[in-house]
Amino acid sequence: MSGIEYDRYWSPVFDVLDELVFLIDHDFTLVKVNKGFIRFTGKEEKELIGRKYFEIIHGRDGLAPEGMPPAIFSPAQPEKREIYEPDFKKWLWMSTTPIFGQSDRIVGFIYRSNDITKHKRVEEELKKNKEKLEIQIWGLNKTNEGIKLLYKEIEKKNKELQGLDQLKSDFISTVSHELRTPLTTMKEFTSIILDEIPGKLSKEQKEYVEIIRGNIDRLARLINNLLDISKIEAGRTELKKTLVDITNLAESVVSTLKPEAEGKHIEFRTLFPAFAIDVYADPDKVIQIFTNLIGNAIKFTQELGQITVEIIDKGNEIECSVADTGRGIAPEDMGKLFTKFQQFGRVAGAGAKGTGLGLAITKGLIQKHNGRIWAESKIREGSKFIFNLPKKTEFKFLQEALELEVSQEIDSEEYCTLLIIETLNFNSLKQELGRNDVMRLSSIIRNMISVALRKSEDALIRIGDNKIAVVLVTKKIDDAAGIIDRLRLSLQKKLFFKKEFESKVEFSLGVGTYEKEVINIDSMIEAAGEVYKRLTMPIIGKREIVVVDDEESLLATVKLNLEETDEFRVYTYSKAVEALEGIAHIMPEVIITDITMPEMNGYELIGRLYEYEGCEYIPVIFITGHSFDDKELAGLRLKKIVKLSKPFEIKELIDKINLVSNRRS
Amino acid sequence: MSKKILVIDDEPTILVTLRDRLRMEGYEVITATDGSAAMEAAINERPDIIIMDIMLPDISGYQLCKDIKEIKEINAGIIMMTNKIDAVDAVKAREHGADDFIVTMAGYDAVLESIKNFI
Repeated sequence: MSGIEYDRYWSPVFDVLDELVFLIDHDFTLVKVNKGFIRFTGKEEKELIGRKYFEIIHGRDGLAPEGMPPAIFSPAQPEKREIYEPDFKKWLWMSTTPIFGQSDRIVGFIYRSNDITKHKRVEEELKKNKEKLEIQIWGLNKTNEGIKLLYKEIEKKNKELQGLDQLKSDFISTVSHELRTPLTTMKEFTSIILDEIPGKLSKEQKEYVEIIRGNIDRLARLINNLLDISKIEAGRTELKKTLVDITNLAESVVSTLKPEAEGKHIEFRTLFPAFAIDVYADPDKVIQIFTNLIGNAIKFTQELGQITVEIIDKGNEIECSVADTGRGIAPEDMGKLFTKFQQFGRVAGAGAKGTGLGLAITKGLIQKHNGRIWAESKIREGSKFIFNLPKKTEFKFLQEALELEVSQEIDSEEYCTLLIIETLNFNSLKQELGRNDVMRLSSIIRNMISVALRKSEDALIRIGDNKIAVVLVTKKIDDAAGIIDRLRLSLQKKLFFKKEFESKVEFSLGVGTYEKEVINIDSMIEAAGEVYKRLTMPIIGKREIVVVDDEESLLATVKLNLEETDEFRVYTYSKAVEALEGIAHIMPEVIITDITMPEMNGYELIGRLYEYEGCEYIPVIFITGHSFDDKELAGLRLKKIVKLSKPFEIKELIDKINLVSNRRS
Repeated sequence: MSKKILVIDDEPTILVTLRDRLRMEGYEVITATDGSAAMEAAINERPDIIIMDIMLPDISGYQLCKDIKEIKEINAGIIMMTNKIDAVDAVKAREHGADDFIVTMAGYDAVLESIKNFI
């Protein structure tokens, strides 16, 4: 190659490059190579110069540059391509530029090349990942479409189910009415016949009609059971939950069924805790549950057996069980116990035949209360049915009740007052006084409180045996104060049917008033927790006396004299009717009443007092200028009746008051 | 000219249901209940579309799909079906060359739709 003075410039320019550079002449012989090329091929310069370039590099097919006749090259556009060099296992980016000599003839080519192996690998990697991703996306899309289809199916099925549900509801209503109506008619007419209204019956006829009546009853029971179970299944049983004493309910069922058991000489044993256990449940349903279980126990126990009903307080739940010494249940039948229409063997002896639904209904009811039921049994030894019901903590119950009450009452410009009245020494009282007395006490306290309230507007929530919460909603902040005072005084009176209680019972009254705008249920409930913990507020006040007499002057004199002692607060009434209301509200320590009064006399007044619960224990002093009718007095059934004849002295009256009063002076 | 469809499933009820539905739509249907019968039918009958379950008694549906795709002469669109919903299955089907993937839990309407797309 003449005329090209590249030697001088070659090394300084091309040897510093990483690129491979080589020159070939018009017949593809390597003329010049740079250090990069030497490095890449691993051969020495003398091995390379003079060889055909395609023997060294681009060696796959040993041919001229792929499909590119040199004539096509234009000076301006070098040919560029990516080439894989299999001998070196590398990728090169190659640029070929023709060198033009005289008269535009190509005299050679200069090749520049870059090792792009790494780059190529990254490219491959990306491509592979892209493909993988595309497949994943495709897969997900297909799955998505499948899900959409399923969703449509579900919606369709849902609609069908709703339709079926409606059908079922309609069926229940129809059955309810259509089946019962003829049954009622049949029952009525059998009654009429049995009453012998259309004519006398022969012994046989009577017997037969009674059989018919028995079957009508049986049919009615079956229909009711069927409806029960349908309602439970459809979730339509509404529970009217309230705080109930489950021991009480169990006892009432036991006493109802006792005669039946006694007929078979079956002994009842009850193991109940000493005191009431409050459970948040629907009392009617609880009775139904016990009736079913105890009824079954009686049915399946032979003569001279024993039935044990037990209730255990387990903290956050109560566990009840009915155990019998009857026939027992075979192991293979245990699984089917609570299913519908299962009846296990013929019952020996008389007794209403079951419908096979009792246990299924019982289970349904228990589950509705979030409880569980199960059974243990040994053939010929007996069976035990156990169920538990969750207890709500007092506080939780208060929370729920508060939410219900307060949310119903509240509207914007009102105040909400929360009171918690607690009988402090309730537990020791239980020990000391015995269960019955203490329960009565509870009931009286409740009434005392409810009388002090404004009847329906205020909510009284029994939270436990010894705690009552009251929610007052008032327009002005002061309004509650009046009610609270009344309440406090009422509690202070401590009018209980036994004198000894009065000194023993201690109350605590906690109060919190909240502005409605500020109030929210949560803060109120939190405050309730605080109020819960508050200490006893002293309850002190004057002794209240009610005097009833149609003689105004007497009223004035008695009031003046009694109040002068500073010990009493006297309320006077000249009409018995007014006095009644007054006594119910005030709950005085003692009532002093005249006997002869127009419209209603003293005897009637006291007699009427029995309508007001709690008032029947208020001691009475009868005053009269005439004689006393002892018969009337006896008829009043009062424990303490004291007579005072007019005229009397105030000292006498005060003595009598102290004598008759329940409060120790 | 009606399209020829090969249906492969080892469950007789599904096979019959699908076959009858496709015939109602006017397609020509041939059936097979396992991999080897399916391969034979595919080679001999040259269906336009092949519908197969991913689970077959003698061979995995995926493998069968891949094998059929390798035989260039058969040249059928392959629709794979399953009664489960799992994206993993769909991905696997695609990796083995399936042209479409249908979940049949909600019925076979989707299969029919898919066939229309091949036409």
